[in-house]
Order: sequence, then C-alpha cells, then structure tokens
Amino acid sequence: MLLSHGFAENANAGEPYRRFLQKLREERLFDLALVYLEDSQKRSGVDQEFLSAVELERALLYFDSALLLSPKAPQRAEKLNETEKNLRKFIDQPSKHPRRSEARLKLGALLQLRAEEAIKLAGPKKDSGVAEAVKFYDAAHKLYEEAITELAQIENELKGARVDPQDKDKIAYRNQVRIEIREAQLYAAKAIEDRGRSRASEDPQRKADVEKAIELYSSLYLKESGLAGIRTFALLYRSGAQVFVGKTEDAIDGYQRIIDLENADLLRPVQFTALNELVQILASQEKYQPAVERAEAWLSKLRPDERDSSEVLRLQITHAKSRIQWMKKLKEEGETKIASRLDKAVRSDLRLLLRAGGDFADEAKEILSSMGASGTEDKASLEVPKVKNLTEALEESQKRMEDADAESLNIAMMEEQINAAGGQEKQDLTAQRNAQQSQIDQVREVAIEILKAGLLKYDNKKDDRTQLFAARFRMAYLLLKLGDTREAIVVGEFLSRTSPGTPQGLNAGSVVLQGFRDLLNRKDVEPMSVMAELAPYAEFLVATWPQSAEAVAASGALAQLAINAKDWDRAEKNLGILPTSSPGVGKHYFDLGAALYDQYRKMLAEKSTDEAAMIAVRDRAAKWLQLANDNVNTEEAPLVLGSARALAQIRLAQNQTDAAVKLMLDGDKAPMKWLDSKLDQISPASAMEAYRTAMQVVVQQVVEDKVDSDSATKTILGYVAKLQEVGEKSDDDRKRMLAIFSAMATDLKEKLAQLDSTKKRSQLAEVLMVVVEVAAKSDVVSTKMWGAGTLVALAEGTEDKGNSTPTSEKAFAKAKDILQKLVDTNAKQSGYIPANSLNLVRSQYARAAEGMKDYTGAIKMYAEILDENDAFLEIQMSVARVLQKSAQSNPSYYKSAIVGARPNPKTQRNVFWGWGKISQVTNGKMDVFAEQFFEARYQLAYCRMMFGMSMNAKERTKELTAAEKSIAETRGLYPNLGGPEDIKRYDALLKQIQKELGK
Amino acid sequence: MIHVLKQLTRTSCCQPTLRRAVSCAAMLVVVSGVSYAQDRVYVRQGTTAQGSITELTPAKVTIDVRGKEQTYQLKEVRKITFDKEPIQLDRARDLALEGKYQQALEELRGIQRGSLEGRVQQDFDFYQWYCEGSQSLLGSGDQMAAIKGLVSIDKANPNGHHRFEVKELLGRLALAIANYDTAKKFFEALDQSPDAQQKASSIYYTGLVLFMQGQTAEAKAKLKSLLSATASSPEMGRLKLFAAVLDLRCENEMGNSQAALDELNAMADREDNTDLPLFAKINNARGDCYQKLNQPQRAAYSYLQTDLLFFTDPESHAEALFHLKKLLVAVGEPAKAAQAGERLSKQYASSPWKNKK
Repeated sequence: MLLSHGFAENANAGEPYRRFLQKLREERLFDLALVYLEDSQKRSGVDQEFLSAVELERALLYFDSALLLSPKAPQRAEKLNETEKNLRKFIDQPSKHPRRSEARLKLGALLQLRAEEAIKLAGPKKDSGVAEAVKFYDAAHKLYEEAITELAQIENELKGARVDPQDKDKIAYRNQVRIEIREAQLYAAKAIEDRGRSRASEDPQRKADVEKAIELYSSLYLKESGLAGIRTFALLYRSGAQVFVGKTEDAIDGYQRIIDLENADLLRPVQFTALNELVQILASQEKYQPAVERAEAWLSKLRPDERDSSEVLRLQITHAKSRIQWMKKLKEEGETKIASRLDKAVRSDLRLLLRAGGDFADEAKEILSSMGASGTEDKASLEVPKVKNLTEALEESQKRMEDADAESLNIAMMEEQINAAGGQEKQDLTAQRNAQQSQIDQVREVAIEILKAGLLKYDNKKDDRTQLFAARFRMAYLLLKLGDTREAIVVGEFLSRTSPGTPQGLNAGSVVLQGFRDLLNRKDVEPMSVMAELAPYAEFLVATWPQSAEAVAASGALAQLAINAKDWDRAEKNLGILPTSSPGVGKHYFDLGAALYDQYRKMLAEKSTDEAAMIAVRDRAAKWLQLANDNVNTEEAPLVLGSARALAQIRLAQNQTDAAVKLMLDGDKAPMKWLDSKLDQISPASAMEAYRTAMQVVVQQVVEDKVDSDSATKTILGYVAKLQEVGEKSDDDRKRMLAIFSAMATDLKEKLAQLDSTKKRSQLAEVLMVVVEVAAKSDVVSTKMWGAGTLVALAEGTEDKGNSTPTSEKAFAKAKDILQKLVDTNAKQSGYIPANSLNLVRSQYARAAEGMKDYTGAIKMYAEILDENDAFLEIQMSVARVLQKSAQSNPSYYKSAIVGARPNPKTQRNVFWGWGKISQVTNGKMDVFAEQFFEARYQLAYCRMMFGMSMNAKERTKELTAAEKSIAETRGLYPNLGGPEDIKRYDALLKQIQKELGK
Repeated sequence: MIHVLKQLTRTSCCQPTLRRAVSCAAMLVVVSGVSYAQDRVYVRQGTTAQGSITELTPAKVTIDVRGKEQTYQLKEVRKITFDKEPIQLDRARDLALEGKYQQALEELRGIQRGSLEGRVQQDFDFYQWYCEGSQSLLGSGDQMAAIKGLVSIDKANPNGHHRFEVKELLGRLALAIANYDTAKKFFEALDQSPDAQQKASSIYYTGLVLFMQGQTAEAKAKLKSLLSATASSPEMGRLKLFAAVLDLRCENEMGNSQAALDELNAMADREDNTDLPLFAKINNARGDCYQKLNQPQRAAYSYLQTDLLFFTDPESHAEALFHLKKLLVAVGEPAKAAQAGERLSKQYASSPWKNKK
C-alpha cells in the first residue's frame, strides 16, 4: 500500500532485524515473526527507529495473519482485535512518528474489513441496512480525514523553498507524503460510498453519501495527473457508485476509459475489473453481443501470468453468465444452432475453470449444474481416429479424457439431484444419469483404443520414453475409471516397479492403491486375500518412496486390517517398515495404540488373571501411543488428545507420574495447554474424558507430594468448571457428563483404596473435599451430584475396614447436606433432579446417612426407591447391610436382614428382600451375579450366627447349626466359591460358627 | 618464440639507445638458445614472476627469473601456472579459486589427461579431485571418488605444493561422512604448515571434530589457543570468529545454554552481516541453544534466518534445513516443514544432514 517511512537498515552492522522480519512476513510465518519481534525488543543491537515502530509492526503481522484465516475461525477475531489495539496504541503515542499515517490507513482498512464482515453476517441484502457496518465505515472515514489533515500539515512544512533541492531524502519524503495524501483521499471517498451503501434503502443519507463519494472521486480524478493508479481507481470506484445511483451511461463511459488505457501494464488487473463490470451492465441491458465480444477480445489475449488471477477468473465467470443469458434469449427467438454452439463453448470454458479450485471452481460448478446435462452427443468423441504416432495418440486421448472427467462432474451433480428428487422425477433423472455414464464409458474406451494404437506405433529409437510411460499411465487410469480394476492394478504396478524412485512411478502407485481400494469395496471379494496381494506392493512402496503418502496409506491399510483381526504382530510389522517421518503415519500409530489400549482396558474390566499378558498389552499400547503422540502434528487435535490421554493413563498405571504430567498438563503438546482454544475440533465426550484424565494426574501428584494442596485444588476446580461448561451443551452431553462425574468419583475411591497410608488417604481426601465443596456451590445440578458422589466415595475410601473415621464422617456429613438440599429442592420443583438420576441421588443420600449411622434415615430413603421398583439388586444388598448394622443395637434386625422386611400391601411380599431372597435371585443368574450370590450366602450365614448368639441356648444352637449348614451347602455346591478370598472368609466364618457350637 | 623475434625486429629499427639495449639483451637470450620457460607465479601483492620453477614445496616456490632466483612463501602466492599447460587448466584454476567448482570441472573435462606430464599433470589431478570434493560438500559431487582421488594424490605427491589444501579438504570430506578419527588426522597434519592461517584452520577444524564426537570439553580446550591468538590476517580473524561460535556451541552442550545464547546474540549485534557463513553459524548455534532451552519457536526462527538470509554456506544451510524439517512441524507449519525436507533432499543430496535422524 504505502512505502515504508522506516529508515534504511544499515546493511552491514549487526543482526538484520527488519530484513528478517520482512522475510518472515513474506513466508507468512506470522506467529514466528511475532515472537521474533518481541525478542528483538530486548536486544541491545536493535536501533531506536525499529523499536519506535514495534506496535505498528506487530499490528501489521496480526492483520496479515488474520486475513489468512477463515472469517469463522475464532482466532481471526482475536488477531483483528490485537491489530486494532496495537494500531491505536501506536497512533496515540505523544510523539508524531513518521509512520503514523501508515498506521491510520491500516486502521481504516481494518475498520472497513469489520464493516464488510458485519454485512456478510447480516446475510442477503436487506433494505433495512446494516447499522454496524455504517458505524465502522464512518469511523474509517474519520481516520482517513485525520490522516489527510496531518499529512497536509507535513506537506505544507516541506513545500517549495522550505526544502533544499539537494536534499534528496527530504524530497523523497515529500513525494511520499503527497502519495499518502492521495491514497487517504481515495480511501476516505470509498468509506463514504460504502457507508451510504450500507444504509437502509429509505434513508435519504444513503444516496447522499454515494453522491458525495462521486464528487470526491471526480475531484481526485481531475486533479491528480501524476499518479495513474490513484486516478484509475478513482475512476473505477466512481463508475461503480454511478451504477448505484442509476447513472449507468456515465458509469459505462468511466469503465470504457479504464479499459482503453494503453501502456498501463501495472493497471491491467484494474482493467479486467472494469471490463467485468462493463460486461455485467451490457448484459443487464440485453446488449449481449457487445458484452460477449468485449470480454472475448481480452480473454483471447491473456498473458501467461494473468490466467490464474482473481480478476481474470471473475471475468470468465461473468462472461459465462452473460453468454448463458444470451443463449436463453436466442432459444426464445428460435436460434437454436447458435445457442447450441454457445452452450458447448460455455460448458467447455466452465470445465476449464473447475481446475482453478477455490470459490471460482465452486461457482463454475454451480453454473454447470444449473445448465443441466448437455444432452448433446459429441459423435467425434466416440470415433477412434487414425493416429500417425504416439504423440498424436496422446493428444487425442487427452481430449477425450478431459471431456469424460468433466462429464463425470455432471454425473456427481446429478447424483445430488437424484437423492433430492422422488417419484417419476427420480426415475427420469436416474435414466438420464445412466445414459450419460454409458456415454462417458464409451469415450474412455475409445481413449484406450487410441492409446493402444499409439503404443503400436512407438519407435524405440526415435520416440521419447516419457511418452511411452505417459501412454501406459493413462491406460491404467482409464481402466480404473472403467472398473477394470485388476487390469488397472497390473498396468499400474508394472509402471511403478519399472520407475522406482521417480514421481511418475509414484503416480502409478496411486493408481494401484486406488485399484486395491476399489477391490476392497466390492462385496464379492475376500478382503484378506486382497490384503495379501497388497502386502508385497506396500513393502515395495515403502522401500522405494518411504516418505510418500502412498506408502503410508498402503501400510496403514494393511495395519488396519491386522488391527481389526487383533493380529498385533502383523499390525506392528506393517507399521514398522514406515519411517517415522512419513507424512500421516501418526494416525496409523494412533489406531494401533488405541486398539491395544482398548484391549488392555477390556482385560482390566474382565479382571483378567493373566497379569503378565495384560502388562504386555499395556506396554505395547504405550509404545505405539508414544509414537503417535510424537508424530502427529498439533493441528490434528483429536489424535493428539486421544494419544495423550490414553498414554497418560498408562503412565499412571506404570507409576510414571512425571511422564503423565508432561503428556497431559505441561508438555509442548499437552492438551491442557490448548484444549480450551480447540474445543470446536474435539467431541464433547473426548474433551470431558480429557479433563477427567487431567484430574487423575493432579490427584496422583497430590498423593506423591509433587504439588501443594492449594494449587492442586485450584487446578482441579478449573477442570471441573471446564467439564461442566462442555457438558451443558446438550442433553446427550449432560448424560455423558453425569457418567463421567460418576466415573471420576469411582476413580477417587479406587485411588484412596490403593493408598496404604491413612495419612495419605486423609491428605488426599482433604484436598478433594475442598474441591467438592466449592464445586457443589455451582447451580448446575450435575455438578452438585458429582460433588455429593465424590464425597461419598471419599468417605468410603477413608473408612477403616468399614468403620468410620473422622475424615469419613466429615465427608459423609457434607455429602448428606448437599443431597438433602437436592432432594428438598426436587420436592418443590419437580424435575429439578433429572428423572434418570433421582435414584442415584437417593441411594447416595442413603449411603451418606448410613455412613453417619443414621440407619433409620438410610432405610427410609432406600424404601422410597424400592417401593417404586424392588428389583434394584445393589440397593437390596445395601438395605440388607443397613439392617445388619442396625442389628448391633437390636439383634432382631438380623432376622430382617435374613428374611427381608416391609411387606407390600398389594403383593404381600417383602419390599426388602433380605439375604435369603437375594441369594435365591442371584443363584438363578450365576453367570452375571456370582459375586453377589456368594456375598449374600456369606452374609446370610453370618447373620444367622449373630442372631443365634443373641438367643437363648436352644434357639442359639438351632441358628448356629443352620448357619453351619448353609456354609456347607454353599461350599458343597461351589467348592471354589468366588475365588481364594471367598474361600478364606467362608472358612474363617465356619470355624467361628463351629467354635460357638463347641466343635 | 617467433612472435617475440618479430617484435624485436621492429623495435631495433626505430628506437633510441635504451630501448635498443633492452632489445639486444632480449636478442641475446633468444640467440643463445636458453629455453624461455613460461612458468608463472602470481603473487597476491606485487608483479607476477615469470620464469622456470626450480623448487616447489608445500611451503614455498622458487622461480628462476632470467637467471635470478626468487623465492615466495606459498601464503603470498595466489596461483602458479606452468609452461605448456592447456589453457583450460588455468581457466579451471581461476574458477576453482572463485568457488565455481562445477564450471571448473567442465573446463577440465576438455583436457586429455594422457597428453599431460609432470607438474602439469599433477596440477590437473589436484584440481579435478579438489573440485569434485568441494562440489560434493556443496551437495552434488561424487564424494567417494573425490576422496579416493585426493588420497591417491596425497600418496603420490606428498610434498607437492597443494599438500595442505589436500589435507584440509580430505579432513572436511572425512568429517562429512562422520569418519571423525580420520578427519582429525588430516586436520592435525595442517599444523605443520608454515602458514599461520592454515595452522589456525588446523585448530578450528580439530576442535570441530572433537565437538562432533561429543567431546565438548576437549573441543573447548583445543580452541582456546586460537581464541586467544592475535589475528594476523582478515582470514584468520574470520577463523577466530568461527572458533568463537564453535566454543559457544560447546558451552551450550555443557548446559550453559542461556549464557551461550546471550553471547551469540551479542556477536550477531556486533559483527558484519555480509559475512554470510559466519551469520549462518551464529544462527544455527542459536537454534541449538533454543532447542536445549525447549523453545521451539525461537529455535525455528533462528534456523530460518540461516535459510532465508544466510544460505550460501551449504553445510550450514543443510544443517538448518534438517532442524527445520522437525521444528516447523512442532510450531504448526507442517507444509513448510515438508518443503524444508524436500529442499534438503534435492539441494544437498550428498550431505550427511540429508539422512540424519
């Protein structure tokens, strides 16, 4: 935009700060440039001029970096805000910096950008205007006016005799100032115009603003004779404004003057823009022929470096549209031949535009789609021409391949239409699609025949070997497209094996891989046999092009199949041949590591007795997850997160807490450092699991005294808050959050159980209690529930062999308090506690009451649950236990614990089952409830013994004998019981009973 | 010879006494049949000596100039040419001196080695392998062939005037293939040179080998004498600066990364940035320090400064590209990382950095 006022850096002395910063900017390495700029400020060798413009440089970097991001990216807004902040800070400096006007103009540009974004956000044009945009344009205009005033003052100080004609620097500076004044005037006029356009249609100021802008443009155009760029832009904008106020002929005149400029190479892009506008105006006036002719006159003489410019591509789109409008008119007038020729030309041009990519390709695609299928048979494409040599064959086949590929795009668009259609329309479109596909296939077959003919004419001595390769490669590609997959694979493989290490050979490899992919998608093919064929080729790819995406894809596919079959050795072998630096290999490492990790977790859940095997699986998982974590780049957030989380869990299990900390909390890629800013890329479930894992890591740090309680508390609270934030987004997320909270409570309980030191348990519990107390103050029900659940878990974990301790009592009391409030609120506000969580709250309340020895309160709450549905086995067992505990003060409760209590008036059956019924019910489903069965039988015998011991002698013996018998029966039916621990306790109980019986 | 006679004939007709006397002397020389050899010694400062070389050692050259012997230390000599040598050889020599090794090799290809003899053939051999070896250090010559060629020259002509150049290049080639012990032997041999700058090179390169071997304390000790020496020439001054950078790299390896970095920054602010190889070394060293300090962004921009501004020294450039391959991924620029890797492979195919893990 403007020449920099920056003083020239001394080319020789010291570090070239400016030059390097400029290079980083050119390379678009803005983040690094920002770090470098910050660091430069602290260096002694940097000169004062550089330092004085740091905010401006910083602003320019943020601005350029923001422009690269999509308008929807959250970082874009942050960067634009930083730009504005730094620009304003620079402008507001007390001393007038020579680059102040540059900063003003940039700030003006930023405000205009914000206005444009406000307009986009407001959606399709509304007559009501966009007030936000008006505000920004107004602010921009004011900035430009301030810049003009200040620059005019400077110019005045440098006028005429005030500057020594020999002082070249001052003269150059004066010229620079003049240019900046003109630029500021141009932008100021543009801001007024855009402000007007953004106003509501009935606002009288709307037209007034645009008319004012026209005046200013005219003034600039007439006064400024030297600066061709300024004049031309003034004319361009003026013409646009004239169209807006209905002065179309004036606008046409303006555009034509720009187009007619000669020897203005630098202004050619502006000329194309003017031509684009002119063509649109002429087309709108139905002057199609002049519109088309003017466009073609320029498009037929494009310079090579212009073809991909946005101005030329825009003109090509406009040219296509105007020809389509013309076509319609010609058809109405019966001129179908001309219309048909136009149709063909437009389609051909639009297909070429598809290669441009980006928005222009999308627009071209849309236009082609609206034109529908061509319906015209190009007979020439279906004939096999005679070719003299391979070169001709390549040319002829190329044309047909391009046509076929372009028509395939039409097919893709038709598929979308077919999916959206129904009934007869669907049938018609499907028939049309099939007919077109058949034609495309014929064209491709013809292309193959041409190539074959060309290959026969290949002369080893005269012709170019690269042409030979090209012809064969095209054949492989065409065979693939025609579905002759095996043939395509054979040809492709031959080509790649005979051109090892070359880009062409690799391209042939892509065809082979696509062929294998197509085979695997077929239902009539056995995947394992296809993979067996692919394996040696994959090894060849890896050996020959180790860094290629194709090698990674092939080995990755083989590895995936092996993972699916849980063949870990084979999966490792397939991945092991790839260099770790191969692009995209991290994802495959992750797949294998994640599968092994799942296997390990499954073995944990199944309480596998083969500990060595479990550890082996775990360590294997760790290896691959570590490789994944090392090799996936930070842009692949889900992979980085997944690998870090799983690996952190393994490191905790391996007692490598520091490694877990680095992975999750403070390493370069640690999720806790970046998760907040990339939540849009991560599923809520994964994010919540990550916070859970992070909590586990911090808890372990507390246990190992690696972090002080206060900072651990603060950190954990932070994670709870974030978890809550993520979990509140939808009902599904809320359910997931509850499950995770519950799992976190279990995590803590297990952690406490693992600690053999009472002191450690209490220490951890104290930290967590603080966390929970704070968290439970949240308005969010699920957090309160989590808090209560965690307190119950803490309490249970700090009991001493089932007996209460001061810590456990404290925790139970706090839990009961929270739960009481929840229950009371729910009584007043139905649905306060989610229906599917009500019983959880009740059971936690009951547990807390039990923990505080309020057995009556506990039983009452259990009764509420079981009255609704008595089939909750765990609740039934809890009730039986509470009854047992109650029996310490009243032995009759032992009987209740055995036979149950609380008869249902309707069914006459006990709502509380007691151990007797529990053992009956569970005995019927030993495959699922074996543990509960053996527990019930044990407690049954125990209660019998205890009840007996409270009775008189006769009853005592009876009960004790019954207890002895029940143990013997159970042992007789199930000699191994629930395992060695069960055998021990059953034997101990039996001995006790027998001792009481005097045996 | 015929050309000279014609000149003398013209001169003797028309000139005053003094000229006539000179021409007579020249005539006498011609007439007496003494062969007028065209060996030339081009000195760095002064006029070129033309005559017949009577002695040529690794330290000096003695040339008989019309019956009077003149001796020059080789450090004062820019180049030596020989009688009856093909013109392409001298062109190649000049190109090699300018660092245009590929062009020099093309000139040498136009010469039939079998037609050469004696010193001319020896010089041809030297330049052929010297250019091939130097080119391979730039990333594209046949390194192994050059090593073999230079070793054979060293054996065949151990007292040739290119002896120390051969030693130095062999040392650098051995370093390039990580054959450190061999490299050290060659560099240590440079110490025998009478030229102070070559002695300084010996110290610097030996220090470099020790550094590459991980013997940082030994490397530091080695460099000490060079660091404290007074520079006797601009070239030696430059070597001192290289040594200073290497010394700071040692400090970094020994755990004093911040201190090393501070000093490297001070050097960057102080020295002349037109010395591209020096700044490349400074930046690479800074990159190493930042990596040790676990600051990947700063490390990345340090190596980038070598890549974008100071890329003329191929060894430093290859090193920078190697680090950028990984660092740019770590700072969220995977596409640029891939480009760096590609450029390393293409531009420096024979560099050890290409295949380093």
